[in-house]
Amino acid sequence: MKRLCLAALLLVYGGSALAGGQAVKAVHYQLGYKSGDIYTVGGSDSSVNAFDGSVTFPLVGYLGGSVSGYYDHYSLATNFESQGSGLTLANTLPHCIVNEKGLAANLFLRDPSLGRVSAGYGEGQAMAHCQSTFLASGGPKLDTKSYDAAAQYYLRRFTIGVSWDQTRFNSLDRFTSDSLTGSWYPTNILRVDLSTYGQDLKNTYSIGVEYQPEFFDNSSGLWASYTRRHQTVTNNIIMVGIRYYFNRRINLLERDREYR
Amino acid sequence: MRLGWPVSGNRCGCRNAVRTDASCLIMQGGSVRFAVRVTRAIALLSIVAGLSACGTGNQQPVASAATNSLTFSVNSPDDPTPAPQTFTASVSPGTVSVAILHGGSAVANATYTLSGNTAQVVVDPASPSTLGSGVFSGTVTVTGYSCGNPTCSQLVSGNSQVIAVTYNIPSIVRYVAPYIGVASSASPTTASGSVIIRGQGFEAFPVQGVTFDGTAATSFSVVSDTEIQASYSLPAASTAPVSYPVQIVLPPSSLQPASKASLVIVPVTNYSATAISYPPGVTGVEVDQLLYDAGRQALLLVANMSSGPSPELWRYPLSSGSWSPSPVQTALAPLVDIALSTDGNELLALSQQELTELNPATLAPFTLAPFPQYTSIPTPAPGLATGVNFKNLAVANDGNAVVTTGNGSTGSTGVWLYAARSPAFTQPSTAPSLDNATPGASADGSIVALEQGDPSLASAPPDAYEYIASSGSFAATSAAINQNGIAPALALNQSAGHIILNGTNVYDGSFNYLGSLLSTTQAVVLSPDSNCAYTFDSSGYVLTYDLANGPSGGAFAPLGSGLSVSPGAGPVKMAITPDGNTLFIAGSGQILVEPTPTQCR
Repeated sequence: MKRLCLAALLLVYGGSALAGGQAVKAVHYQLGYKSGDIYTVGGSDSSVNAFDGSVTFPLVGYLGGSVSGYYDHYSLATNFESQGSGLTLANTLPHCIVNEKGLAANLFLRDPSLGRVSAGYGEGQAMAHCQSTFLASGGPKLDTKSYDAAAQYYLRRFTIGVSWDQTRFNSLDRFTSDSLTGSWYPTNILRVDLSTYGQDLKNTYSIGVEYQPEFFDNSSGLWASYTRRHQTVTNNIIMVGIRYYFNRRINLLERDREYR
Repeated sequence: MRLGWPVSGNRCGCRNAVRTDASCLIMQGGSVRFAVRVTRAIALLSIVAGLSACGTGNQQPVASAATNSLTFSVNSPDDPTPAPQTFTASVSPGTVSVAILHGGSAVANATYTLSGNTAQVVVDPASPSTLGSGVFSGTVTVTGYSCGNPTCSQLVSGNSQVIAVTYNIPSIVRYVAPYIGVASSASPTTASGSVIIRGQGFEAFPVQGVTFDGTAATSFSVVSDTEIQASYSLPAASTAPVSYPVQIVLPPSSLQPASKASLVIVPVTNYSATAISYPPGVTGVEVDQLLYDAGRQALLLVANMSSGPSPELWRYPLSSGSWSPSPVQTALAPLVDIALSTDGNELLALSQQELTELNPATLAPFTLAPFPQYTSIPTPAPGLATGVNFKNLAVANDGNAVVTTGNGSTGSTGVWLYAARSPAFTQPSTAPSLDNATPGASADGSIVALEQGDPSLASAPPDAYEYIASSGSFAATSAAINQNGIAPALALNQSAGHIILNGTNVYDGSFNYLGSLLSTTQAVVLSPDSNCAYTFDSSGYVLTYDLANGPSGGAFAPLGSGLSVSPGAGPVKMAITPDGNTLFIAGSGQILVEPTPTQCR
């Protein structure tokens, strides 16, 4: 927490010191919906449907902020077997429903010609609607607090980003992850992302693409991603989504580096 | 393999030692502008690097359990629910959430207590009576979930440990109806007939045959999962009843069935005509019910008296060829009706507000001891409204007694079912509300007819109802009639049948009206083959009707002039032996034992 506060102070200081620049050109609103399938190899499909939204706004100079929220509805697979058990299953309750919701706030320093440094804090809650217990809470409800720090470097049509995230559960348990992401803009309306994760998300790789078609008057973005997580059990996650941008008819590259 | 961090360093230490002179190296070999950008980028990244902390190094959740399977077994659907079974499951570190779910009909519930990463899982099997017969399966699944994205706003499934649950519930033969078979009059050492076998699981397993104490049925037909119709030809003794346990035959690989049913073959009755007196000093007897217990050769009678304790249950056993002049007596005030249970093992004594199960031989109330499944005897009324009492009962072949209620005046009240083997009143959704209904059951228990209403009602007569034992449901019949106090008489078999309502209206087995008997009828019984009706007429005669030959002009005519009898004044009740050879006629003065007239045998 101390480090996060320090980071925030640095950001504020930096933003003030660099007054005259502009982290966010104008307030930016977006709303998104995503749907996906999480397949655990050897098992069954889980599904997710989710809504999210965010608003990004300028503060002082290079300093900007954002507030975001999400609501996810998971139908998590349960009826697959351990390796080698060889059981044929019948009539098993196939899924466990889990709903998650959360809010997060973010402060960041951005020089649109250089990159972005950010720190954030969020709170969330997961609620399982089956006979499920979160180990950290001992019940069907899990409260989380998340801290994150990230940096992006803009290099022509490439963006290189690193991030660090830590999520704390009800008790002292924590889940920490860091990632490295490389993004490429073949055109101003198309972005391709490659990511890899470490620590608790080790052996996790992701490829994604976001496309903002001009014939929607730059109001909407379509995206898709594939994530593979290979540990004792392998998960393949495919997500597709759509985002709607309320008030800014700009291309994707500009949106990413100057508005959100 | 880990690609998650762009700089080297000890992951569990602080990573702020990024070399700031890296840009200088680049500057020496490339453009200054590019080097500046890289320097600035590294500076940005270093801020993030300085903020990073150590994680807990979790792994993908793996669930494991101490067992892969659980098996529950009972002897029949009538058994109590077996005790729960417990197993231990554990998940590896890194698990955020554990779900322990159950599915399949075999498992009623799975609960668990969690201690660290170990769960004690208690699996409760479903009730055997709920499931019925068969081999049922279920599963209990222990699944661990972990975070699927950095903020843990996405969960992903780890693998699951699945425990297969198998639940073995054999089929059961509960009842055979009628439970009394009779020796042949022509060949007293043999008995043949047909029965309805009731139970559960007859379609869950392939029934290959039916046996009576090992002797195969001459034919059988599986009607439903709960019913088999079978015919038999068995040895009979000339002096004493012979009991034949009834069993179904299944392949050796199937769960072997349980049976609680026995067919009792009784000798042919050749009772001489006689009169049985009521106990000395008793006057003004009003007979509410008269039963013949063929398995024990005894008469049972519910007597209301103008003097002495009232009402009473009397039992007249036949001993050494003579009817006991001194009945076994018991008072169960206010007793209203009696019936033998489907298997004849209990005498159901219905009082106005409770039902007591008696030993048919001693009339002693059963205690809990011989029936551990009982919770209370007698069984109280199921919350009857004020002024509503039990009225009558008749027993079906599914083990249920159909119990009617009344309020002493015109008005509809509920009809209940009473299960003798698990004493409790229930009311199926099809149970109607009837106006002081009176039930009557066929000997095979397949149908209980219910007539209702009051003769003084001016409105359209109400429907007669039937309880259909094969489906356990009630239904209105095509017959509509206001009852006159004479209980329905039914004699049904697999090929034919007759039903008489009000002692006068004759219907076929499907309640299609055929014709009428004399309107002066005061009591009626049907021969077991349903072809003959014997009535007590207000003229003081026992009249015989041949129902096999249709009515003439809408009426059946009595055969001959009848048999003059004097049971006494007041309501008269009649009973008949299962072989159709003997009539019992009880009035206010005495009980008469009369060989049935030969015109219709």
